[in-house]
Amino acid sequence: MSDVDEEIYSLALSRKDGVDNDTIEEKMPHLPAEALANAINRLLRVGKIELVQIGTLTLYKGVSMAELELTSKMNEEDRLIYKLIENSGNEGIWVRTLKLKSNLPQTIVNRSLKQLEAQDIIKSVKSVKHPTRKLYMLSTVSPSADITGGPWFTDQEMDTDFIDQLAKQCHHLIYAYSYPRHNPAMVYPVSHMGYPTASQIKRFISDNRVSTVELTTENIEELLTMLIYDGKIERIAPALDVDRGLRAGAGKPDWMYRALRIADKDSPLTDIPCGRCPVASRCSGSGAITPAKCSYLAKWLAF
Amino acid sequence: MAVLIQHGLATHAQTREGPRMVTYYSISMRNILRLQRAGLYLALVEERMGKDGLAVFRAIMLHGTMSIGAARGVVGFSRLGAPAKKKFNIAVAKLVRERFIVAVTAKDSVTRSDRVIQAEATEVAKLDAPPTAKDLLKIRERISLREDEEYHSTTIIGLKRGTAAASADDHGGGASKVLIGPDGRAIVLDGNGLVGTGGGAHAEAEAEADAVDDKQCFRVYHDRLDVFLRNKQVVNYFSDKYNDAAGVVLKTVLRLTEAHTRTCRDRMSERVTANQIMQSIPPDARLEDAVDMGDSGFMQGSADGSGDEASAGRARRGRAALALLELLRTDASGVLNRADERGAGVYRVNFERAAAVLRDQCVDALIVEKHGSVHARIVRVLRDKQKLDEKAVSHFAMLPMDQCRERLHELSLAGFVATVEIPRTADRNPSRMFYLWHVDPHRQASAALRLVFQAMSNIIQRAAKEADARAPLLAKARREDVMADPSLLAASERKELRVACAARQRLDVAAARLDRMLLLVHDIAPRAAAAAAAAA
Repeated sequence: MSDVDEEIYSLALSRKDGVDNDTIEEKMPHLPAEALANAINRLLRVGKIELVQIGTLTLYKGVSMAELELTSKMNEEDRLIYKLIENSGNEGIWVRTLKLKSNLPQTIVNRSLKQLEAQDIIKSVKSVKHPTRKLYMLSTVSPSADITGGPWFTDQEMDTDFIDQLAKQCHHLIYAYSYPRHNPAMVYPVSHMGYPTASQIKRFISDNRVSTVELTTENIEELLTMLIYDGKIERIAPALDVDRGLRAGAGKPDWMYRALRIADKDSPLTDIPCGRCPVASRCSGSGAITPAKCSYLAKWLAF
Repeated sequence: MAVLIQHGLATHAQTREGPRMVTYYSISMRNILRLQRAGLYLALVEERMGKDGLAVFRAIMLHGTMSIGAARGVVGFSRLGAPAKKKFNIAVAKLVRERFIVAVTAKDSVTRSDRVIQAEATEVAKLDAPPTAKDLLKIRERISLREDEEYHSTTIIGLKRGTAAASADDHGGGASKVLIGPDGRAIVLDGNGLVGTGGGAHAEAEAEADAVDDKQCFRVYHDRLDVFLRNKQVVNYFSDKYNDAAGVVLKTVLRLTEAHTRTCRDRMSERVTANQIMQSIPPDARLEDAVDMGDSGFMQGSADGSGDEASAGRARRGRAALALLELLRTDASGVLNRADERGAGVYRVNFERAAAVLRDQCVDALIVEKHGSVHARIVRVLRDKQKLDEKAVSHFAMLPMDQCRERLHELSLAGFVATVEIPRTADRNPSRMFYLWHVDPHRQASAALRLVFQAMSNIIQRAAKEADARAPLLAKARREDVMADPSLLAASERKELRVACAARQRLDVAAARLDRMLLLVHDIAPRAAAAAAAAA
């Protein structure tokens, strides 16, 4: 490889997205355009750089030596499939999309996928969004949160037990800070700023190793939103601190959370068996199931 | 039929059909359902009006419609001396002034729609030519306006003012005047608004001077009593959410405004200042122990540090009251609003919000009981976010899609949620349609009411069966000789009677609690109350 080729190759490798013609000309102003074109053609022929089209822009992207070594052993079809899978990044690519983009027959696509998978170059994953679709990505790449569903999913299934346990812990923590410890019957005034925030709860969870899964503040907010919809906590807007301006930093407000005492208020239907009666829909004034003959009511009255 | 009409459970209307007059009758379901609430009304009257007021109220309630003279005879005051009669008069005057009972007029027993038709016919008869659509619209507007004026009028029918009090009132510049009604009875128009709101010695003296027309018939004003029951529920909500002191503060606000709140139709209360509220908070309420002010200087004692315990206590109490008011005002429910920043603030209660909050809480508790807490979570998500597709519901409720779909369909079957179709193509093909889930508060309320009515009906039927099963024993226990000498009952009979009483009590309590749901879900919503008043 000549010096010019070397220089262009290292320039293309140094940029993740590749370089365009103008940049190469700018970096090597002494080279005539013809020599530059010849060098690029040579590199393209040996597969050291590849063409990438982004909109109307054509970029040259460097191919690492390891990858070059890997792809050199592949046939044309395998290499094409490999490239498409590689470009899909951590989002993965669906077989049908592969077929469409490669323009290869299904059998050849399947054969290539089988070969690449057998060599442990690619792996198949399932997406939580489309559980029936098989997505392919490089075996060295970890699937994105969109595909795995984030920390709330285990084996493409929403882990409700984990969510409930974590929600319970969050509720306990918020409750502990919602009312004065020396007299829980008391309440804090509006100016009180000691209610926990999502970032504080996140810190508590990671410090106390409540969860083995790494959780972001957004994940905690999702959990707290669920608790709000459970009627267990409520969200309080951060008050304006005159001395320091807004308590939260610029942008997103740092909401505080307060536990509610009325979450577990029972209903009058709890008192009577009719609330959870399994045959309530068939109960009427006459017939086999009537309130007068009801054995549940009889048991309830005798209790 | 006469008894039903006397109790306001049925109304009638006459119309000419060809050569003959025909009478039609209709039933007031609302008033029938209120019979279940009689115990709550009586407890309320006893709390507010004392034993004398309760005796009069109970007599009127038992008879549906009753003149005060007749009530005096029934209660037994007619046989007593002048002081007892005066006591009776005060109790009656207080009941009338605070609108626990209202004077009955001939039109009360006529169905409202017929009253409107009659009024319309009278107006049309005054026209020279047949009315145009525009004329009819104007007439209807006029009738509706007249009804609104009657509703908002401060006139108290049936209350006569003594000469001395009337002259004192005139001296004070009050715009009070006495009209003579078509039946020859006195009608007092009081331009100062409701009398007796101020309390104190003057109000009592005035009450003594007031005399209620003995011949005037009165009935229980259920709509007004529901206001007190509603207020109690609002107070309970805040007592549960914060603490008893917060409940006391809100109770004080409601007490100060309730004289101007006629029925549950009213959307907003009158305004009250923070000073008025603080001065009216009962002295036995322990506000000082209700708010933790931390190191903000609140617990540091009196401001000047003079060591004057009494003034320091007053200051602490005042600050606690203000802190609680602020806490209630900033509550997410939006029930207590600050109408003005004047002084320490002018407050008013938003009854529409209060009704919505209580209704939602009640419906949620019902869904939790009937379906489960996850279902209630889904309903709350939809209530907050309005219309959502299945995927979004499952995201916010943090539920797997299949479980979420299953629960949504269960709720839909029960009537608590509904779907709306958004077509993607003009042919409205179901396979090319978005289905968005949403909650409609009115449909939700009717679904909840269906469950409440079914449960109430079950309880009533069971109570009837329990009574039937022990009818001979209950009849024996009611015999005069047995009541005088309980030893006439055998030990086993006494035991059985105790069981029957316990069962009856249990069923009554369950029915009363269910009735509370009915009150919250249906009766107290301003729109529903206005619709019911229009239908009555």
